[in-house]
This record gives sequence, structure tokens and C-alpha cells, in this order.
Amino acid sequence: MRRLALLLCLALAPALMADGLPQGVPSQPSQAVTDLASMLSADASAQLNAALSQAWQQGKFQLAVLTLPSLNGAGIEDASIQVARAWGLGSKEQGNGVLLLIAPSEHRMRIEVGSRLEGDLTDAACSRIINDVMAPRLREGDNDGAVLAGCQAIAGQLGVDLPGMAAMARPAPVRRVGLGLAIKALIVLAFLGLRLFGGRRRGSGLGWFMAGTMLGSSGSGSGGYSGGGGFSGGGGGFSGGGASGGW
Amino acid sequence: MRFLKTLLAFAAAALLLTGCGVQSIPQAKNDVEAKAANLTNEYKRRADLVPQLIGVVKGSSKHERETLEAVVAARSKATSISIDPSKSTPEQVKAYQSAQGELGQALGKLLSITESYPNLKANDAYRDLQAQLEGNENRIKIARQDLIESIQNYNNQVTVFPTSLTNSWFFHYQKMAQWDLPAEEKAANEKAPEVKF
Repeated sequence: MRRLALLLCLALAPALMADGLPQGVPSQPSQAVTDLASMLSADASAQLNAALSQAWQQGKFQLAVLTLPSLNGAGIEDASIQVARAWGLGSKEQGNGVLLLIAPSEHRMRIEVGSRLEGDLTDAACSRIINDVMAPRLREGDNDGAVLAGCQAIAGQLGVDLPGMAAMARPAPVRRVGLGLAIKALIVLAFLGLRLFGGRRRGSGLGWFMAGTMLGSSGSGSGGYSGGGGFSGGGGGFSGGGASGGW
Repeated sequence: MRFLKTLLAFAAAALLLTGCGVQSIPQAKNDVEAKAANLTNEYKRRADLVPQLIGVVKGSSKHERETLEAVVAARSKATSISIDPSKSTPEQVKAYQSAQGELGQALGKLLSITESYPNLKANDAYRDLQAQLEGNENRIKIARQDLIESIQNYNNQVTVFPTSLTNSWFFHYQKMAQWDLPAEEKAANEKAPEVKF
């Protein structure tokens, strides 16, 4: 019995080992936004989650946003390539993953670009998005606006218009939480909730199947979009393209 | 009956051999070659960016002749050495790495000096070039790490039992010269991270 348990541990070890990811980062993102540093409002996160998972499910690109409370002395480039590769953002064939990593306590951010997107989202373009679009807003403390505008600029560079985000990321956002916005947020949240529940009910059989395939292939990216709003990476490759900047 | 036996023997042999390196050793070698090509590609891209950078910087900073000349010299030295990673000796790898490292340092120095020229900083062409060069440095770093890991995997395949047996019977491949981090990067890695409050 004990031997069996040991065997099981050994079999699970590769899946559990987090490839030296920064502290607290999950081995796969459950949603587009992983706001570990809690710098975004629930409304902005919900909008981004909805728009970005739609873009991914339509097969355009997979853009994940990660905020980290601390880099623990590591360079943002190291953290970002580790996370991007461990998550395997983008599909394997198209390599269309992008990671937007922000470390608010170090005032550093980076856009990590999947290997096949480097032609459209060049280093220079990323640097402009960081320095011209995001940094000024972050300097003013407008975290939501910075990330929304940044994501939109990235999507725009890839020729995609993110739906339902134009209102939030206008050049000069009006800081006023009206009733309309609250109702919109409620609708988005309710929609997300419904989808999550639906996914769970459907996914009970799929979960076991996926666990099985992951054990078999030692967790090298599960591939495909899991139903119900999942956001795991599809095994896309990264070779260090993108840009970093501060504010 | 006889046919069936041979078939079974072949199937068994194929099963046994797949775990012994008949496939994985050449695969590891191919992987090293691909990663090395990737790295040399990034080095070449850097060498291609240098003339553009110099063209932009030259007009704006008349006083930095020496730094500019150092970059040009380092570039011509770096582009004059090329290596084949699967056949090169440790000395060749070292010479190649130090030439590329010198170019990296000279470029870093030039960029840090030009940072203080306000008219350059406002220049869009310069800013784009700077972003490209920084991105390129990062790519070089990652391509080099990937190559180091790939060579390690290949060397393990060639020297560690049981695949080492397969190698000595079939392939007779030699261990490859391992790459090393440049001295300045090692020093940066060993230095404790700065803590700012």
C-alpha cells in the first residue's frame, strides 16, 4: 500500500512541481487576469477576462495578465519568461501567446511576446505600448486604465479589436462610478458565474480525462480550450521577444 | 510461423532500442544544432542593428567618438569569428563567447552614455532602436540558456549509461564543449540583489 502511494507521488511529482515559478503563481492560469498584487478593480478584471477569453476562444491570440506583489530580487525578464513558458500561452502551432507582467512594488512591467507574434508585435511596438500607453496612466495611479489600454493596444497591434472595452480605456477616463457601470458589471459577473457553473457541471467527466492525459504526457500543455471559460495555455513557445519598462 | 517470430523479434528490439538512445541521441544532437543556430541568429541580428544605431547616434553626440569606435571595433571582431557548436573545441567556444561579450558590453556602454542626451531620447528612431537592442540582448540571454541546457542533455545522452552504450556501439559521438556564462554576467548573478526602500 505504501509502495503504491510512493508510486503515485512519483507519478504526480512532475505535474506538481511548479518549474521554479515565482512565489504564488499557479501552474496554469484559470482566467486571463491573475491579479496576485490586487492592483485591479473587480470590474476591470471581469471586463478583461471576458474580452480576452473570447479572443482566445476565437483562436486569435492568448493574452494573459499577471501582477506580482514582489519579484523577490529577480529581474522581470527572468520571471516573465519562466511564467510564459510554464503556462505555454498561445497554441502550439501558432505560438500566439502574450504575457503582460506587472510588478507594482518594483514599478516594472514587461510584455512577453510568443515566438510567432514577434513580427506583428515587435520589441519597438511593445516598448511604445509600455512607455506611451501604460506608464503615464500607472504614474497617475490609474491601474485599471493602464492595463485596459495596454491590453487594447496589444490587441490592436495584432489586428483585433477587444469588444466592450472602449468605454474604459478612453484616453482621458472620467473617474465616476455611475449606476450604469455598476449594472454593466453585475451583468458581466452574472454572465461569468453562469458560464462557470455550466462548465463545472459539464466538466466532471472531462476533468478525469484531462487528469489522465496530463499524467500520461507529464503535463506538457493540455492543448485546446477546455470548455467553461478555462484559460490554460496551449503549449506556445517563447524565445524572449518583447520589451520591459518602468514607471 | 518463422515470419511471425522474426516480426516479434523486430517489435521487441524496436521497443528496447527506443529507450536506449538510438532515437534520443540523434534527436539531442539535432536539438543542440537548432538551439545553436537560434543563438547565432540572434548574434547576427545584433551585429545588423549596430550600424543603424551608430547612424542615429553619430549625428547627435559628437563627443562620444571613442565609445562609437569601440563598438565598431567590437562588432568587426565579433562578426569575424564563427563556430560550429557540434565540432568546436572549448577554446573556440570561449573565444567566440568573449568576442560576442565584448560587443555586448561596448553596446551597453554606448546606450548608457546616449541615455543622457535629451535630443536622442526624444528621437523616435533612437527609441525604437534602443527597444530592439534591449529585446535582442534578452533574446540572446534566453537563447544561450536554452543552448546550455540542450548541450547538457546531449552530453548526458552521450556519456551516461545506458545511452552511452548505444553511442559507443552505433554513433561514436563526442561530448560537446559546454558554453559558459560570460564573466560579467556571472559576477552579476553572484552579487546579492539590491534592496531599495
